[in-house]
Amino acid sequence: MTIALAAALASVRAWTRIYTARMEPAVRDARRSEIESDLWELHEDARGRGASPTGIAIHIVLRLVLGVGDDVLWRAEQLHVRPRVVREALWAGAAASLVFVWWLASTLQAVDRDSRVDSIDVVRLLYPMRPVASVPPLPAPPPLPARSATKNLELRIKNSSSRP
Amino acid sequence: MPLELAICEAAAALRRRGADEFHGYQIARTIGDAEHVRLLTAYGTLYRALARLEKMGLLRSRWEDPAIPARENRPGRRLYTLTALGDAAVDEARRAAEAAVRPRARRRFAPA
Repeated sequence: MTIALAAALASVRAWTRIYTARMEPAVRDARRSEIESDLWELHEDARGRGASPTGIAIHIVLRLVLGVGDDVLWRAEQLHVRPRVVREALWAGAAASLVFVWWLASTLQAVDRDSRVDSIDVVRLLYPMRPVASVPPLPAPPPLPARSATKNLELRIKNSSSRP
Repeated sequence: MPLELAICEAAAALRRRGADEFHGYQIARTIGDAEHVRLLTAYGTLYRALARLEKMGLLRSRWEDPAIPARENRPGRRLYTLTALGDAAVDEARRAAEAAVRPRARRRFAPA
């Protein structure tokens, strides 16, 4: 068994454990056993047809990914959650995933474009598509008061403190 | 419900070939091998549809005797059967499909 095939089988088992977690034991075990049986049948059938382990792995992963939405809806049906709520959550999750993928792709592009590998621009990482404006120089400090003016101020303070 | 119909049709086809009972992967393979459709039935989609069909009374299922998978060193199968209601649904769908095709065919050969 290749690493790809082992990873594909492990992914299906892990996902099945996740979406059947905390369900009624009879329903949970039935679904897990059914998926386990399907994995075994698919593997044996594909091997008998002479498919490569990588081909079998791709087939398994595709069947897993394409059915994720239905798995979640099935869980919602079993737990009597309103399907509309689940559908909205699925859409929100899909949108968030798209934004994340876009952000990751832009970030990787930005990092790749930067020739200095040892200094990563954090602002660019957070806002990859926004051009980073150069920071304006700080204004010059006000000029120090003249020596005589300082002296007068000191005298005024002394006089005010010595008065009863 | 195209997948549900495809499952029922595949179940009817398997029965014509002598397989009264079928398991999940068998139906996925039959659907995938059909000449007119090329569907990749995802795990979630297939088993959700099977559960729905069973709830509707078009399919019936049972777990095979545990001694058989133990002897053959494989996981146990959940075996499905097409019910009389499922049979009727397949016939009805076939008739509806034929009726939808017929007027178009008639129109094509109508004299100008």
